[in-house]
Amino acid sequence: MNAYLYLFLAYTFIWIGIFGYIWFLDRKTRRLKQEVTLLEERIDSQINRGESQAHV
Amino acid sequence: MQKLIDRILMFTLLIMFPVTLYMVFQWVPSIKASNSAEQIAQRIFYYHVPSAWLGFLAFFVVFVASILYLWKRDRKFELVAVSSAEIGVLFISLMLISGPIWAKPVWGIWWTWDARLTSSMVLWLIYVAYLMLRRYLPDGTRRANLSAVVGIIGFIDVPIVYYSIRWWETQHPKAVMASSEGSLAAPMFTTLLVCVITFTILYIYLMRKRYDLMLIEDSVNRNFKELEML
Repeated sequence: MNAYLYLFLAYTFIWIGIFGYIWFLDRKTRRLKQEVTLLEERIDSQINRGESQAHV
Repeated sequence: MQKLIDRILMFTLLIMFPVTLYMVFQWVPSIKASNSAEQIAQRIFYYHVPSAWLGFLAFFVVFVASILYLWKRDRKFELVAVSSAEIGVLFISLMLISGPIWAKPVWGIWWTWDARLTSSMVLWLIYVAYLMLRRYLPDGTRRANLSAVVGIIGFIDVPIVYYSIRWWETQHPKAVMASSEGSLAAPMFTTLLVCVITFTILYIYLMRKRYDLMLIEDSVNRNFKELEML
């Protein structure tokens, strides 16, 4: 195989690794945003439930 | 302030990485080698060595943060150690991939079980085990203690990897920067130094991002647990 191909392969893998990790961080950020939204909804429903029980 | 630091780091990386590519592929002269394949493949070295350096640095941070965790019992040190271990595994993986790609055109083989390569593989396995341990054990003091111990003991392999080329006869090239046996020509040294600095900035940037995510993740999980207990 041509030595340039090895050079190309090495740099390609390194860049895939770096960008892959950045993509992984981005995906994790998005999942955390969804979890925060879910958490807020649950807190709201708990507060509403608490208020309705107080009225009763 | 935090956002400003992140932006400065990102901006620096956006400038530095194209500079490293220019230096590696255009500016730096080729080595004097017996064949052209070796001359071309040698340019892998400029990203291979910084990947190894970044891995060692990351595992050193794991080592220090693990000691601090066992001493101070502060969760933030545990999170620093995990964030750093993850980045370390990534860059040692890149080192283990780029090394054989260099070896094939130069040695004619992808891999050999010599001291440097084997100890590097063991290092990678130790920290993969560290991450797996954290994934499979439930969150709590036991997991934190066990992972801190693995983080400390695992670091013993880093000096073994580094000194393996001096302690044993290996096929891996000898150190060219920190030894009297050979030294790099000035443009090669400059290129390598710029690459190492760039990778170190990348480490700082990734560490900040990963640690922030760990903090948010931790806080969300804690809130979910508190909510379930209500």
